[in-house]
Amino acid sequence: MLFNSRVFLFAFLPVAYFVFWKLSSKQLRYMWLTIAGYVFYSFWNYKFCAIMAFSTLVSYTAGIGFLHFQDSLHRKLCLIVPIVVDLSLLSFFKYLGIWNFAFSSGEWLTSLWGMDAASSLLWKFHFHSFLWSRTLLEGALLPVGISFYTFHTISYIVDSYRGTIKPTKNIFEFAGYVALFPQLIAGPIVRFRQVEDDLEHLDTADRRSGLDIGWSYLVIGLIKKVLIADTIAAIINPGLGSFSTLGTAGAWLCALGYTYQIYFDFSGYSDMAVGLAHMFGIRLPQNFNSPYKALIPLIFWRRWHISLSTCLRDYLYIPLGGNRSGVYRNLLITMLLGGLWHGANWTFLVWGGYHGGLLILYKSFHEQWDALPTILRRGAMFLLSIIGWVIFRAESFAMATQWLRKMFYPTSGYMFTGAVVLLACVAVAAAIAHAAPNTFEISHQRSPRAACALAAGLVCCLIMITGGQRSPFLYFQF
Amino acid sequence: MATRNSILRCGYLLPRVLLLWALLDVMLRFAPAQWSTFRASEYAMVTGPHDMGPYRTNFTYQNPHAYGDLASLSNCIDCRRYRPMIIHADGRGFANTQSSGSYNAILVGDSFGIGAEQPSDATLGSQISQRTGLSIYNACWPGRTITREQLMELIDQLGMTGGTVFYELMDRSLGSVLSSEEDPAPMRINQWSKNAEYSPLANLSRQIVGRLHNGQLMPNPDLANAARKTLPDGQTILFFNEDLQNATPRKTAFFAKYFRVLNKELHQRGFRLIVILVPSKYTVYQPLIKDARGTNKSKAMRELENQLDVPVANTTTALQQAAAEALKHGELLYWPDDTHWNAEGVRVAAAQIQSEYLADFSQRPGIAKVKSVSQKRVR
Repeated sequence: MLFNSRVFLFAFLPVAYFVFWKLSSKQLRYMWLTIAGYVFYSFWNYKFCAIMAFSTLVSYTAGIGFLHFQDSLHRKLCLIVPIVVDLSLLSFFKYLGIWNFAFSSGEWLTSLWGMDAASSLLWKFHFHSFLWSRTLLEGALLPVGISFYTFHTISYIVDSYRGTIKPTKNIFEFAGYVALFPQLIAGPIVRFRQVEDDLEHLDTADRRSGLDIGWSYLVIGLIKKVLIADTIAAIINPGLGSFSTLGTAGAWLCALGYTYQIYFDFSGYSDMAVGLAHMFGIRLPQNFNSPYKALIPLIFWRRWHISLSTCLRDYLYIPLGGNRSGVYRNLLITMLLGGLWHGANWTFLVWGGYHGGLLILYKSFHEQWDALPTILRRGAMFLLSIIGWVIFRAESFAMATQWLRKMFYPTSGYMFTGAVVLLACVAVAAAIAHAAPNTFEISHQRSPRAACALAAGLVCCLIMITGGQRSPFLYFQF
Repeated sequence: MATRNSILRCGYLLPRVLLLWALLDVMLRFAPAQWSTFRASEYAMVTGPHDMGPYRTNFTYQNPHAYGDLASLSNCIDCRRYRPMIIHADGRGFANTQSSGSYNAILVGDSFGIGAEQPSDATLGSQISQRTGLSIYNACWPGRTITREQLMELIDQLGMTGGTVFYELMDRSLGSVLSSEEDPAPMRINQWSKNAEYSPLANLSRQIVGRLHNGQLMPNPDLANAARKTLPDGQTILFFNEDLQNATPRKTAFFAKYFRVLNKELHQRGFRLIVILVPSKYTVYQPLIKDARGTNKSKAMRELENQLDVPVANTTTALQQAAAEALKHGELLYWPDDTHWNAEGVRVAAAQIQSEYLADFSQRPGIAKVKSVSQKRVR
C-alpha cells in the first residue's frame, strides 16, 4: 500500500485514524498501531510480516535481557546474538544477489582462492542450492522496508546496551514502534529514543494540534512526490530507456531530472511520514534539510537522509574509531557500507565509495575549498552530487561512464519527448530545493490562503493519483 | 493565520477535500455511464456481468461521441474517429431491443457479434436476420463468450425447443485469449471487486492525465498498447497487439473439441450449430501492408475449419478480398481506431455467410454435416 494510493487515503488512513483516537488507553493504542502497521505491511506480501514479527521479538527479548542481566558476558550476548540474527535476515534477503552477481560474472573468485575444478563445482552447487531454496521460499522477492526496520531494531539493541535508552517491558510499545506504518517502509530511520517520549504519552496526545501540522506535512509531501517527482520520472525514464540515442543536452537533462526526482521523491515520502505520525501524536525527526544548499560534502551528508547518516555515524563510523584514528579508512568503510545499504548492486557500492572519496578529499583540502566564493562552492557541490546520482541511477558501470561522457563531451543526439515540461519541472524543483525554506523551516499553522492553496494542490494530486499509474517511492527498493 | 476554530485551516479543510472527493466518486457512479466512458463495451467490461448478460438489465447506452477501443487503449487522441453509438440491453443484460419474443436462432460470440458502434440494424445478428429471415437473439458478450451452461440456461429461458445457434469465433481466440470455458462462479465473485474498482471519477481523471501524457507534451506510456501501421493509401490504422501474435495448435484443438461437445449437446435439444469464423483486423489488413509480419491465423482458421464436424462459415477470405477492393476507393471494413469491423465489414461477412453457406445449408434441413463452399473449393 502506497501513501499515494486510493486504498491508503480513502480506506486505511481514515480507519486507522478514527479507531486510534477512539481508544483511550495507551496500551490499546500501542496494540492498534501494531495491528495497523502489520495490515499496512501485509499489502505488499503478508508472508513477510512473519520476518518482521520475528525480528521484533528477537530485539524485544534482547531488551528484556539488558534489563535482567548486569554482567558483561550476558549483556554482550544480548547485543551480539540479536544483531547477528537481524543482519543475517537482511543479508539473506537483500545481499545474496551481489554474490550471485560475483559468481555469474566470472570465475575470478574461485581462481583467486586457488580452488581446483572439483571444489569450485561443489562450492557452486552448494551456493546455488542455497539461492534456489531462497527462491523457493519467497519467490526471490525482497521484503520491502527490511533495511529500515532492521536498522530500527539494531539501533534499539545498541542503544539499550549502551544505556542510552531504557528498554521497554511493554511488547506492544516496542512492536508499535517497529511497525509504525508512517516510517515502516522507507524511513526516516527513527531511533527509539527519538519517539520514546511521545510513545510514553500516547494516551495524553492532543489530537487537534497534530492534525493541522500533520495534514500540512502530508499534503506538501504528496505534492512533492506526485506533482514534481512523478512528473519528472514520467519524462526521464523513457528518455533513459533509449539512453544510447541521447546527446549532451539530453544526458544533462536526465541527470538534473534524476537529481531532483530522487530528492523530491524521498523528501516527499519523509514529509508524508512526518505528517502521518503527527496525526497519531508522534513526532518523527527531520530527514532532509535542504541538502542541495550544502557547500561541502560533510554538510551534504548532514542534510541528506539525516536518519541514515546519523545511524551510520553513531553505529559504524564512531565504533570504527571515528575521528580518533584512521579517519580516511573509517570514512571510506562507512560510506561504502552506506552505499551497499541501498542494495545489492555494484553501482551503489561505487556511489558510496565516490562520496567517501569526496569526504576524504574535503578533509585533505578543506582550507583551499573553504577559501572559494560561496556561490562557487555551492555550485561545485551540487555538480558533484549530480555526478553521484548518475552513478547511483545507472543500471551498470558502462551506462554510468557513457552517461558521464555524454555530459562532459559534446555529443549530438536525440532529445526525448517532454523536454520542455521537464525543463519547467526542473526550474520549479530547483527554485524550491535551492532557494526556498524546507518543510521543517516553514510554519505549519497556515493562513487560510495557504490552506486553500494546499487544498488545490491536493485536488491536483488526487487527479494524478486516480487517473495515472501508481508510482512507488524510489526508496522502497532499499 | 488561521484561528484554531477556522474552517480554513489544514486540519479541517484538507481531510474534507478528501471526503468530498470520495463523495464525488460515489455520486458519479449513479450518473449516466456515457459521461465517463467512451463506449458501452468499456462500461460493460469494467462493471462486469449483470444477471446473464454483459450489460445492466434494461439499460440503454447512448454516446454521440463514442470512439475506438484502440485509440483509447493507446491514448491516441489524434487517432479517435468520433461516431454515435447506442446500445439497448434487454431484461437479461444482452444487447437486444426486447427480451421476449419468438426466436428461432441465437447468436453467440464476442463484441464482433454485439456490433460495437453499429446501429442496431447493422449488427451481425441483424444482417443475418435480414438475409435469412431468422429471428435472432443476440447473446454476445464483449471480450468473451458465454459458457455452454449459460447458453443452455438461455435456451430454457427463451423457451426455445429447437432452431439454430450461430457461434461467432474470432481468430484472436486461437491465440492466447481463451474465454469460452470460464467458470461463471468466480466471475460472480469478481463482480463485487469489479464494481468496487469501477470509478467514473477515475475514468475522468485518466482522461485529464491522458491529455498530459499525449506523446507531445509528455511521453505516452500507453502508445505501445496498439500497433500503428500505414496502409498503401497513406491511412494510419491501429491494431491490437495481441492480433499480431500467432495462433497456437493447442487452442485450435481445444475449439475443435469444444464445438464437438457443444454440437452434440445442442443436437440433443433440437438445435443446429453453425460456426462463423471471423478474422481479426490484422489478419484482414496484413497482406495489404508493406513489410508487415504475417501470422498463422488464417492457416489456423482453415485447420480448425477442417477439424470441425459442424457447419462452418469462414469469412476470412471474403473480408480480405473485400478489404483490398474497398481500399482502392479509400474505404475500410474495420474502424481505423478500433479492433472491430464497421457496418461495411459486417455486411461483407453476412453476405459471405448467406451466399457461401446458408444457401447451401437451407437446402439440407436438420443437423447436416456440411462443409462450407470455401472448404470444398480447397479440396
